[in-house]
Amino acid sequence: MTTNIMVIDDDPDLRETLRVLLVENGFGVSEAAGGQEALDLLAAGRRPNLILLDLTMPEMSGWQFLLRIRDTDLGTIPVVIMTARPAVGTLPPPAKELLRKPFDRATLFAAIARCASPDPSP
Amino acid sequence: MRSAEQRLVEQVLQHIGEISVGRCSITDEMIAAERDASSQEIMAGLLMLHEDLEYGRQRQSALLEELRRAVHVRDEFLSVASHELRTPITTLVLQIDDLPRLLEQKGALDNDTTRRMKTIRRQVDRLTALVTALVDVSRITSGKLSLSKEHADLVEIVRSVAERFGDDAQRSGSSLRFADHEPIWGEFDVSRVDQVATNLLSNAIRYGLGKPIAVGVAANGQRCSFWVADQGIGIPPEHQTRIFQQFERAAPSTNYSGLGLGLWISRQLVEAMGGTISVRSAVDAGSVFTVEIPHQT
Amino acid sequence: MQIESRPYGADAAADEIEALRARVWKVEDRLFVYDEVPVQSLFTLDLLFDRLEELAAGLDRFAYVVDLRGVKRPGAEVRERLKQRVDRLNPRLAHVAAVVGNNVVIRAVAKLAAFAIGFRSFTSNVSVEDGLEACRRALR
Repeated sequence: MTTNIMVIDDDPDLRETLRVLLVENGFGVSEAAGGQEALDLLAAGRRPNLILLDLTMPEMSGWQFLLRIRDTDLGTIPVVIMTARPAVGTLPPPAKELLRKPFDRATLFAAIARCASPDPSP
Repeated sequence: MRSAEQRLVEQVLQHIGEISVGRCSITDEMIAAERDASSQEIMAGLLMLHEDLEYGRQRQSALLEELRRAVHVRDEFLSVASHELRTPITTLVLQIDDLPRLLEQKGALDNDTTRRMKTIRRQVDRLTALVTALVDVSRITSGKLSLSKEHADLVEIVRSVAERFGDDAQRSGSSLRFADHEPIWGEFDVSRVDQVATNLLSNAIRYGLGKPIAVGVAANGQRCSFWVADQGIGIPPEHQTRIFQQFERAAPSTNYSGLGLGLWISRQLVEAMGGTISVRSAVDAGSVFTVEIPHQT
Repeated sequence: MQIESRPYGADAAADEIEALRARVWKVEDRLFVYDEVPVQSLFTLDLLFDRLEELAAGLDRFAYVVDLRGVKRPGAEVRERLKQRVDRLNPRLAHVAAVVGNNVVIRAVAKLAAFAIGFRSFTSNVSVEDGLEACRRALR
């Protein structure tokens, strides 16, 4: 069963790099350039096994996105956040892990292996 | 009975004394009430001296405040700039790491392309290190540095740094020897200790002139230490304190590149751990940098 | 028009500025009079000293009498600007004569400024006429 990952990042180059990397390594990928686009995709029925979420985005920040999905049925989807900042204490759910930029592919795949949910959420 | 002159001298000395500590009890009324013109002039002069000094002091605090603000703005900028740099570097790292697979697919993966990609990856690592240094400086100077301790073996931390530098040392011609030691367990901030050891080892390679480098660890009761020794250009005694200062470098910048931040950051980190960092060195005889930290940093 | 006993600033009207500038004038070759305003400000100092520099433009030596009678004691900020402006003229100044009348405090201000700047030649006089004479002697 393919593991599906939703990449939410406003930087088009990084988004594309991640998409190619993940697809080449057997993952299914959906993309959103921002929080609202991601919410629209999720509302339309997409259920990834993991969300890769950039924190610093215009209009809706990563934190704001997390707050929006937390208390809904979308809140069961594990989230790995990507940020330039260092780790700060415990992560608010549904964020499971934090990837500090820059990170390499090994670090990325290890985090995905640890956090992706085995079956898509209902 | 005192003469008028003696009384005036007393008065003037009293006022000078007060003015020297920032006080002045002379008023316009007092001046007007003085008996003769000479005393009046002296008192007026003293009052104005006091005013000039006060004015100078105010101006200095205003300048100091401006300076503080400018430093804060600079640190904020450094912090923002270094964060901004991290995203493009992420993209670079991921792209470069994926290149071998792509080249292999196209049948273009050979010694040349492999070597070139290693070079590119090394440069990107260097960029990352510079960006990290910038953000560290701004966090240290704005007092936002925090350590996160975990139970770890100091020998293992230092050994893994030595291993990481194996290639670099070889390329510069230096042999790198790690003096093994039984585990030294304690509560350490692993990534910060790693950062300091990395800084010392990269300096040893850079200034080592291709001569042997040795790295070791030791335990002395409540404290433990690690050291990095090279046999390179050495540091003249008059520079040995300066090199730990911000933006200071003892090596001529025409020969050696670098921001001059590494040792300053290392010292800040070591001191934040409650430790000390020191150097023994002589020109052309190499240097030994020693870091001593408590088991519980 | 009458200049009032208040500090004038950059918002002064055109006719006030003209009246202020008119307080500096040439008496004869190389000799000027500077009639100081009752309440000095950074603005009036710059205005009047600019005028003096205009009138003395091109002269390698000159002297002036400054009439300080009626001037209120200036604060530290004004005194600092005063010293700066006079210091600028100092290399060409053959003599400065300060007319202070009976005001002891103002006499002290003038002397302090003179010492701070290091005038080549300075007198403290009781009248403008005396001051002009002192200037003429120094210019000879």
